Order: sequence, then C-alpha cells, then structure tokens
Amino acid sequence: MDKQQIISLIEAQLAVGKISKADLLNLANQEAVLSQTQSSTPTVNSSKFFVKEESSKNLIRTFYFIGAVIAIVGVGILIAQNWIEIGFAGRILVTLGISLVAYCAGLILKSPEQRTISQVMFLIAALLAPLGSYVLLQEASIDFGQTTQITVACILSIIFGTALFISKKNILLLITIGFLTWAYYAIVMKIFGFNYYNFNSIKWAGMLLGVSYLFIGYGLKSVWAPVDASDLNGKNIIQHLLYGFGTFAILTAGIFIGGIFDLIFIALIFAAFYGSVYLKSRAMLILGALFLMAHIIKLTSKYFVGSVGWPVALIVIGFLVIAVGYMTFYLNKRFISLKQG
Amino acid sequence: MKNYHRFSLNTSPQHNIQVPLTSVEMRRNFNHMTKNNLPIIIGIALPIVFILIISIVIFGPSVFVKPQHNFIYTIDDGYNRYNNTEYSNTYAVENNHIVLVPPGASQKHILEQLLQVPVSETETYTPYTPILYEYDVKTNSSHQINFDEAKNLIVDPGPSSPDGYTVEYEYRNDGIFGLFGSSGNSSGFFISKNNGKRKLNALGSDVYWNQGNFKLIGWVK
Repeated sequence: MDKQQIISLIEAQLAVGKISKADLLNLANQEAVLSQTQSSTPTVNSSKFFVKEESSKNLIRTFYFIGAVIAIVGVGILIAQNWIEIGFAGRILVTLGISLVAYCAGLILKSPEQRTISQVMFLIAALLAPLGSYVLLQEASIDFGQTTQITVACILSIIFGTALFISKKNILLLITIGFLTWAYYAIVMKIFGFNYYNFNSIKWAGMLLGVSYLFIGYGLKSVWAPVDASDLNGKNIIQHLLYGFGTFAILTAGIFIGGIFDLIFIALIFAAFYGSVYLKSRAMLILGALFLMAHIIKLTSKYFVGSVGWPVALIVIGFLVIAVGYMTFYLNKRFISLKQG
Repeated sequence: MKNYHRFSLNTSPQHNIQVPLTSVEMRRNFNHMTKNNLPIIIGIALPIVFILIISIVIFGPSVFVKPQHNFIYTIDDGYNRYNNTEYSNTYAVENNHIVLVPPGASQKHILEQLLQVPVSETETYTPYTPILYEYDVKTNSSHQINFDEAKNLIVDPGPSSPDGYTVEYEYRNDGIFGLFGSSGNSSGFFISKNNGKRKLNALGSDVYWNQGNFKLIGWVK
C-alpha cells in the first residue's frame, strides 16, 4: 500500500465517519509531542520529560485559576464591605468594568501559549458580568425578575457566544451553555410558575436539559476539531463535564419523579452504566453507581421495610451497595480506565 | 460563491488546484456535515422545542379567553371597619339587581360586646359600606361605581358568568428562592374557562393578603 492509497483509505474512512478528525489530530499530536521531546532531549527518558513538562503546565494553570478565584472573592468582599462608600460608579467599575476589561483581555490573548490565561480572563468576565448586571439594574430600579433575568441571560449568552465564535476557547463553551441554561430555567419558571402542583414539570424540564447536555457533549469534537494536544485535552474535559452534568440532571430529576417512574428509573441508571462504557465517561459511571445506591435505599425503605423490618433491610442494602461498588470498580477497570489510558 | 475541491499535487500550498464540486459531491458533503452535526443540532433544538411546545400547550387556550360580561366586586381591606369587626353593610343580588344588606343582629351583638355600649345609642357607629367596582373585562380595567349606578344594572349572581367564566385567585411563586425570578410577582386574580385563563391586571398582584376579602357580587348581563 503506497502513500496515496493510505491517504485515500483515510479519506474514505473519514467520509463514512468511522474515524474523526479528532482521532487523526490526536494521533498526529501524540507523535509530534513524542518526536519533539525525543529530539530535544535525546539522553533523557522522553516519557518522564513529557510528564514533567505536563505537570509544570498543570501547576501554572492551577495558579492561574487560584488567582482568578482570589480576584473574584476580593471583588465580592470589596463590594459587600463598601457597598455605600464606593457609590454607583465604584460598584459598576469593580463589577462590569473588571468584567469588560477581562473579556477584552481574553479576546486579545490569542497565541496558543496564552490559551490558559485567556480562558481565566473569560472566566473572570463571566462570573462578574451577572453581578454587574444586577448592580446596574438595581441602580435603575428595575426588578431582577424573570423577564429581566431572561433578557440578561440571553444577552450574556450572545456576548460570550460571540467570543466563542471568535476565539474558540473551550471555557467559553461552558460559559455560554451556563448562561443559556440560566435563560432556559428562567423561561421555564416564567411559563410554569413554581409551586407544589407543577413541580413535576420542572423535573421534566431538568431531565430534558440533561439529555441536551449529553448530545452537545457527544457532538462537540465532530463539529469543533481540536487544534493541538492541549486543546484536545481541554475539549475532553469539557466533554466529560457535559456528560457528568447531563447525567446528574437526568438522574436527579428522575429520582424525584416517583410513582411508576421508579421502575423506569432503574432502566435509566443502567442506561447510564451502558453510556459510561460507550462514551468512556467515568463521571457517568460514578453518578450511575451513586444513584443506583440511592435508589436501592429508596425502594427498600419504601416497599420492603414494612414486611422484613429495618435490620434485614439494612443487611440487604449493605450487600447490594457492596455489589454496586464492585461492579463500578470492574466496569471502570475493564472498559473505561484502559480505553482512556 | 462556488464550492471547490481543494487538493494538492505538490506539498507547497501555492500549487493547489481548485476544481468545482459536482452537485452529487455537494449533496454528499452536506449530508456528511449534517450527520456530523446531528448530535449538536439535537442538543440545541431539544430545549427550544420543549419551550415552544409547553408555551403552546399552556398559553394556547388563553388566546381564546374572550369573556363578554363585566363583573361587579368589592375588595374590603378591613381597615375601614370598626376595630376590624364584621360590622358592615354587604351587597347581595335579588331578582337580578344588587341590593344593600345592613349588618345582621349577630354582627351588631359582636360590636356591642367589643365596645360595651349599645350600637343604636350613638351615630358614630354607622356600618361601613364597602366600595363597589366594575371590572371591564374587555379593556382589563376597573373603576369605582356608586350604589345608585349599581342597583340599576341587571346582574347574574354567578359564581360563573353567563358565558361560563369564573374569577379566582392563583398563588404563583416564580423561581426557587428568587434564583430564576423574584417570588410572587405573577400571583393574582385570573378569569378562566376550561384550560384558558387571563390575568386580571387591574386587580393587582400585591393583593395576596386581600384575596379573602375579594367578593364578586355578580356579572353584568
């Protein structure tokens, strides 16, 4: 098989969707990283060097995020302690002002080396923007009610969605999804109202949102190919976060619906186990296991405690929980850890 | 703008040759792109479709809420009555006309016990007369009317209107602890028939504590 044939084969497989661009990039980047490390340090064990470099990068990223958290906490305390003293201009300056500066900085920092700090800037901007909007609306004596919240959430979604479109930073996807989720819940609350009688509607809305997260997570890399290994790593994190949030939303909503859904919920939990293997998602597996344990306890206390009594029920629950724990460990070791590693 | 295949015969990008795509190729590309994007499209479309469907289900019937009959009502805030007792005139509908009903013996007795003086001995303790309002269901507005105007109207005592509408208070707490909106701002009185309902804005949303004192006298025929 010559080079042209191999390329044609790859093109054909890409066209039918058997392999994705992400797979190819992943392969190419792994090779690139290895060859880079081998060429630069011929006498040093390349994998050790790579691990060291990655861990130092992780350390820098950790410092960036700790810095961002400290800065945001600082803004919060500054506003809380000096709400009156700093006046309207001061309040706007430390919230919307910093948010705007951080947003612009995030857009300006373009090079691949500045990717992490750019994302930290966007995170600061995203956390301060709702606070700034609240301060601004309070000053204008506009009630921060549902209609206002829907408007603010939609505007922020558009602003950060635009930044996502321009700069393609991974964190912006999470931020935009976060603001859209806010808008979604505000709209749902506006439509349903919130009281005891229609609480089930809110649960169904939450479950549907979870399904939506799973779909977005699943399709993420096929529409938005990673540009290098670090970007691929970022996309993997976002993807698994979406899987985790989606599973959590579906199972949390499902466990509270009750009635005949208690039976359907068992199927949902096993779907989560199947999904965790299919999507190689450890978050989905752990959540499935936790919810299965919770459901076992719920069903036992609801249906069996009356007939067998608490002591026997506790023994049964104990052994079932051990079984679920072992199954989780087995699935993780057999299907997820190996594939991820 | 035309679509082109871009493939290279040389490793240098300057030597790329662009060939127009055939319609079959374009369709194949489009199908491939749609197939790849399908999960994202479903993910984004699901919440939007959900919101659209529930909006149609919930607000659809309200489009057909078109009541034809105004109603007469009172809202008694309690402060105008002597020491918050029930010593008050009331309204009733007799032979399709509104009539004023003076306080009964039991109400007078309660007041006398409270004041420890016979009510008839002093003119100060004349019974309170609630204010009458007419709610215009077409313009969603309310205005005060006096008893002389009201007694000439032909009125159906209800509780439902001749065309089947009812008025009731609905408490709605919007948002979870104010997270997705402030609480109670859409509570209020609604006029409803079957699944459709419309808020009676002129009755206000801040009459929660007043809801028990809203009294529908009758529907104007």
